[in-house]
Amino acid sequence: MFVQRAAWFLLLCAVPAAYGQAAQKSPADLALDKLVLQVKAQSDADHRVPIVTNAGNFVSYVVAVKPDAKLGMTPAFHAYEEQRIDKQVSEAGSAGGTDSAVSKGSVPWLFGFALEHGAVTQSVEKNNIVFRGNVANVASALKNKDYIQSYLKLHSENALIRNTAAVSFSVSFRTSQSDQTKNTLAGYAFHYDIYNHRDPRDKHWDSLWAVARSKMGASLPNASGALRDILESDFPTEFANWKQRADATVRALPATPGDGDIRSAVKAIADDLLGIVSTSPKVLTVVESVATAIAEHEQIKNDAIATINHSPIVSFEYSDVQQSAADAPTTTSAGAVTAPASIPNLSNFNVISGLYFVAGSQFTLNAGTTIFNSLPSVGKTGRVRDYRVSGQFDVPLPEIANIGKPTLGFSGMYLHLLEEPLGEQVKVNDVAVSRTGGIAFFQSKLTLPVKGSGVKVPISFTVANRTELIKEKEVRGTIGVTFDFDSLFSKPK
Amino acid sequence: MQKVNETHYKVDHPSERISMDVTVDQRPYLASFEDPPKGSRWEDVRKTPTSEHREFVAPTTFDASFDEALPAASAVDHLTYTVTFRGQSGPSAGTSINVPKGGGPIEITFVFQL
Repeated sequence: MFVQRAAWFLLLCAVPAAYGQAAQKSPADLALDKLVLQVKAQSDADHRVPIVTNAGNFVSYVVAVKPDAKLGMTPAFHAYEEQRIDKQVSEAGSAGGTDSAVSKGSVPWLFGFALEHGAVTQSVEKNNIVFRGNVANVASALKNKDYIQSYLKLHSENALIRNTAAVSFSVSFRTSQSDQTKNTLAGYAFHYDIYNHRDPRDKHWDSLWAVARSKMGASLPNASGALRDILESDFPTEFANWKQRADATVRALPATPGDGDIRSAVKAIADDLLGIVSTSPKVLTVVESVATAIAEHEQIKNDAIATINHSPIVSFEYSDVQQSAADAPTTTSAGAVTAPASIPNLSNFNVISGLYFVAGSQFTLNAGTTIFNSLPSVGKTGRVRDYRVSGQFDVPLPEIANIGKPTLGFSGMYLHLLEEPLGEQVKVNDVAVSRTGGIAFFQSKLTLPVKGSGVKVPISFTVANRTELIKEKEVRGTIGVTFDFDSLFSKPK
Repeated sequence: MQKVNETHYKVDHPSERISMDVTVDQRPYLASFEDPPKGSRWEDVRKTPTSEHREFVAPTTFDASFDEALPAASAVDHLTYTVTFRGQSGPSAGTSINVPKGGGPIEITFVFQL
């Protein structure tokens, strides 16, 4: 009950509070953010100097700060950067302990962790810890000791190894102290990417990028070169001195500078350049032509990324669910519940399809069936326990300052129980009752990221006509946390 | 040809022929070069999905643009372009440019002087 209320409170408070505090960054701040990224990514001062001594890298800042230089131009700031919402860290949607209606098409490349509260169709809310990983990728990362090199190495291997790398696994464990069994294994799953080319680095897109490069041509370096030429011809001394000061400023930074240090340095260099270019309408015209070339370059790249993001994903997932007596409630409003003594484990087979929708949104469709791993010795229980179909619509929300881009999801599931969910009828007040039939539910979920950490907090609200063992309307709030370990291994050495 | 710093090179004689090889460690290759290079021209241009070969006659100056298309959700936060120059004499030399995710394109000026 507490979790339900807490989830509701967070769900109602999080969005307006977060958006209310969000500070919209100015184009000049965004331009400086990008320069900080560029300088910080270089290994040492010798590699930072070429960036801060090329006036072309400061064009977005100049255009943003000098209003009369804009002339209707919109600085290009990675409009294509969309939050990827097709990735699943938590349990498979068909597994008993998950708070998700569907499984997603993509999973973490290396390793993921999730702590979930809730079980969308079951009658007892569970706490599960889920570990999700990829055997081939983990082995490659350990062998090569470098995230990027292990990615490259794996993709240069033969088809057998690449196919092995398309298989990921997950193992989940119960954390509930009230569990009546000693076995804490809640289940395990295997996930195989049958068709997934959402990564722009995929060889599949070589021809697409060749066309994009052809369209880009040399317009951007030509425009940047023209700015260099006009500064050298019209402001030879000032431009040479600006480069010397920029060189000295960036070399004065510590060996491993913080973002604040870099930001102060690049802003000083940018303002210094602004003092030169703003005095000449002729130079400002060339600055605008560089800004136009950047915008055109970005548009071509955006179009290619959009094509990649529109490609479908098809995956297959097998889940083994370890059922226990703890899955059955001890009481309902109708009376005391007695579960069967022996409860068979389950195998779920699920086909996952991810489709791009509109405006960065993603639609995921699941279709699957569950069978009993063993049948009771008494009665006439069939092997097939249920059929289920579910769909989820994920909408990326605008970025919240210092938090990241949250996602709002709406999902629904219809599960038809052909047999008793625990293999045999449960008893309520010692009277055997049937629990076959249909279960339908609707879920809304807000997923809040913790910026730059790989951590996400999903908060969901679910309404169901019944659960597997209780034929009463159910309203439930759930909260969890997921962590994508990939972020730990990818930091530059 | 001798390396002065990461982007400045001293050529041994007028009309020294320089070859340039550029590779990127992660697809797609999104480097482009000022065309023509100032006072020279590109020759023997050959491209692959992850690399490019060009030749030119020094002295010259040209701008280059390096970009990335790393997926937003990828934990890989940058890619690296490696630029290698070979003159008619002396050892090969060059530089590397890290392009951070969301931080491209980066403009660099290369200078080859007597």
